[in-house]
Formats: sequence, C-alpha cells, structure tokens
Amino acid sequence: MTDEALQKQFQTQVRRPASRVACPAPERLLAGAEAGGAEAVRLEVLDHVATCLDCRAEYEVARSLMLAAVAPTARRRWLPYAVAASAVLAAGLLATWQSRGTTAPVLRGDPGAMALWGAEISDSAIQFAWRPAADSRRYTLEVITDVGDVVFSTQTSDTVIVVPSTSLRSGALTWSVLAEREDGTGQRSVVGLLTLP
Amino acid sequence: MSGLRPQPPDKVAAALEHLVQRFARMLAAVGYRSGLDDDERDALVQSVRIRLWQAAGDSGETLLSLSTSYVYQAARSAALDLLRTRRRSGAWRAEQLENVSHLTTSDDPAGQLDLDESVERIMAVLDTLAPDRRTVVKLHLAGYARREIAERLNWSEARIRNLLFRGMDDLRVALRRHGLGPPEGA
Repeated sequence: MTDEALQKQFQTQVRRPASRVACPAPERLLAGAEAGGAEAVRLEVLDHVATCLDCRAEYEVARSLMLAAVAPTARRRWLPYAVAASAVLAAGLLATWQSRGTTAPVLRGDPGAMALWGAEISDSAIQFAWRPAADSRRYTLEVITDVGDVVFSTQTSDTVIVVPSTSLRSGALTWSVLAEREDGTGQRSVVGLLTLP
Repeated sequence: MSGLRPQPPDKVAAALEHLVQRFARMLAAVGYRSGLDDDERDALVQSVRIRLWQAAGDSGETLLSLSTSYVYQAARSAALDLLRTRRRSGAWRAEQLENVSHLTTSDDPAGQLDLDESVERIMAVLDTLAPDRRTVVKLHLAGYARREIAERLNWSEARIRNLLFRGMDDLRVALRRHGLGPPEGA
C-alpha cells in the first residue's frame, strides 16, 4: 500500500465526532498546545487531534493565540547558535578594542531591545540569562506559574543569575525580566517558557 | 514596580493595540483553516483586548508595570473560554448530526464494507506503534508537513524525520502481516 493510499484511507477517519465525550477537556487540549507543556500531554493531545476535526480546529486556534503572546525570541531554534556566534564576535571585537588601548563597551544590535537568551536547567539550579538593555541600572527577574502567581522574584545588576531549583516548583512556568533604566523608566522583556521536572 | 515613571495613556493604548493586532494577525492566519468564522474571530480578538485592558487597569500605573505574563495568561484564558464555548455549541451540533446520520448511505455497499474493514485494520495497527512514532505517523497521514509536526511537538525536524521513517516502516510491516499491501520483497 502506497503512502498516498494510506493517507487517503486514514483521512476517511478524520472527521467531526458526533459526540465530544472522547475528546480531551478544554484545559487538557490547551496544555497540549503549550510549547512548554509536558511532552506526554502534547503527544496524547496531538494523537487525538490527528483524527478529530473539531479538536484540530480548537487546538490550532488556541496554539495561535498562545504563540502570539509568546515573543518570537522564545521560539527561535537558531538562538543558541546566534548566542554562540555573538559571543565569538563580541570577544573578537573586545580584543580589538583592548589592543587599541581602550575598554569601551561593545554593544551590538538595537541597544534598547530587551531579549531573553534562555534558561538552562541543571540538577540543582536554573541559570537565567538575558541580553543587556541600554542604560539599565538593574533588572528584576520574575518567575510565574501558569495561573499567574509569582513564585520567584529577585533584582540584580547582572544579566545572568543562577537560582537554586529548590526556590522554584515543578511544572510549567513562565519568566520575564524588567530592565530599569537610569532615568527611571523601564522595559519589560518578552515571556520565556520553562518546564521544571 | 517602584521607580517607574507612568506613561501617557495614549502611549499605553497604542502599545496594547499593537499587541491586540498581533493576536488578530495570528488568528487570521489560522482562522479559515480551523473553521473559525469571522464572528468568532472578532469575539476572540475583543476578548483578548478586554483582558489586556483589565490587566493594565488593575495594575493601575503603566504598561511597563503590566507583567508580560499577563499577556500570556490573557491569551490562554481567552483560548480556554473559546474552547468551552465551542464545546457548548458543539453539543447542539452533535444533535443535528445524529438526526441526519441515518440518511447517509453508500452507492456501493460491498465496496464500502471492504474499505471500512481496511481502514479499521489500519487504525488497529496504528494503535500498536510506539506512542511517539504513532503520533508522528498519524499527523503525517492526516496531512501535516514534517515542519508543522516538529513545531507542534516542539521537537527537531530531524527527530520527526527519523520517527516518521521508522513509524511508517513499522506500519507497513504490520499491515503486510494483516494481509494489506504487497508481500515483503514483492
């Protein structure tokens, strides 16, 4: 049987169900559409979405809404490479500046833009890192649960911070950083997703 | 947040509207394909707008003091409301489907029976695959592209390619055992 024949036969089973009893509950469907959600839930929900037209429509709309809320930086797969490339470039430029007898800081890209580099999870801690925002005197890191409760908040003048795992709880979390400028104004980053085992 | 200077209301309005328009564009992109009609889409955009304004109002100060997590939560709760509403209207639609289901007939009952049995066996064999391979294969058979599957499962495209290759292989072998498809080596 060819792939095409298999697809045609399978698609006869993709339909609007007469009853939604067997469909995942709205909350479950939403959890399956969240990029930071549990892998098992995503698999379970998508397994159902493959054959249920009503759930597929709901899934796609919910996913789009949440994608619109999460900034592009949280979805960029090339980000780690870009970070590595920027680091190499910055090191090179810094070396050049130093060889010319100056220690002027090297800023690349839009200095006003606030962006998250990522959160790296190890056994005992989570390292959060973000791009420096121009003229910022300090940053406030917030980690928030899926129901909007702030579970962790701290201020730092650095752009990297290590938080012990014990300070946070397991499950799906979001995090963001508020940069406070010298003139008293501030700039909020986009939201990053984080799932702790 | 202390130390932050309030922004002029029109600046806040413009920033919020910018966010709302981002939601509207995303919804327009999937709306038609997902069967979301214009009224539902408008209602959803309006729902997000109201939630964002409420969040901005509750914070009482500036857009900057509006946590970006609120934006995510606004989108999430709007999506949840939509799903619940559709489920409620779906109950009504199911009644209509049940009323007309007995009118559906096939022009070729014998051919239809063969097709039904074949499809039933395919679905049964799919259920025997490993969960990750099964989901990827089902999404592929449902018409999703590899990139789309990768985005939805939050896995790399290379991983999807591998799972799909192995899953389709498992499926063909199992179907041959069930008498569907050419024998091995044919």
